[in-house]
Amino acid sequence: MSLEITITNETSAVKRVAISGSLDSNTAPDLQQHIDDAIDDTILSIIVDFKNLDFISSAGLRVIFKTKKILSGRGGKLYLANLQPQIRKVFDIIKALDGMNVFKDQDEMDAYLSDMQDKVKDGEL
Amino acid sequence: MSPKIKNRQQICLQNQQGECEKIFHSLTDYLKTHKIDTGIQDDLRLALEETFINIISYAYPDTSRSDTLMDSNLHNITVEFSHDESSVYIRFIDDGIAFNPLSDAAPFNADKALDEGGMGIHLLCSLTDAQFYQRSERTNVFTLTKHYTSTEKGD
Repeated sequence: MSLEITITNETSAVKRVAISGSLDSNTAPDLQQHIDDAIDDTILSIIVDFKNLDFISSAGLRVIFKTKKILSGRGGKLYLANLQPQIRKVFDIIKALDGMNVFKDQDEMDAYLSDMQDKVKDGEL
Repeated sequence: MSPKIKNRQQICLQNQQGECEKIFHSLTDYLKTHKIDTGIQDDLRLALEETFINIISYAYPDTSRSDTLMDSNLHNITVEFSHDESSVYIRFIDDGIAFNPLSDAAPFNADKALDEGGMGIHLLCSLTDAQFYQRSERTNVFTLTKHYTSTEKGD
């Protein structure tokens, strides 16, 4: 099982991490490395896009929690987007979604990104 | 287990993280071959990964999670699939130190999961219908039970 990771700069302060495939004990270290490399002083938010993720285990969940912890410590935020039913079920079992910022749908994520892009244009970020 | 258990199928793995994939393939093949509701596949896949990772992490403390083991540190872990008319049974047998994940693992606390662990055991217990641990003749035997319903009757 493999994991495909695509990181895009949505704005100068926001990166989207799209993951596809299986986030398990074999692939979680790779995602952690990509995220660690992506976070620098300029990053305020990271959006993890689960649209094409088929599987997540506790090893993958730990990457998500660790990323949230790192960002929180720097005043940043982690957002989760496009949680598929089988992935949401795992988050629900461990009661993790209450403390997470979750976009309810694509429109909400697009609105957030549009707002962030406006702030960049206005020099607020 | 039920006296009507049938179609036992075993695979032998080594105590290396990369072996997880073999369990998933065996699970998929087993459910398909015996026409068992594949709707339980996602739950079982996650339970199997969590169980296997727990075994290689705690039953073999000197070599936990290493992907480059010397031959002398390699151990065999047997995974056995079987089923009856209503349940699938998956039994893990390893020769590691005595470790009962149901009692020895850290209790799960959602607020402290990152630091204190216990998440994997909580997941596997939530996704299966029964779990049973036994220490038998210097081996750990851990059995998961998952009920299933299907319009197609398994053979």
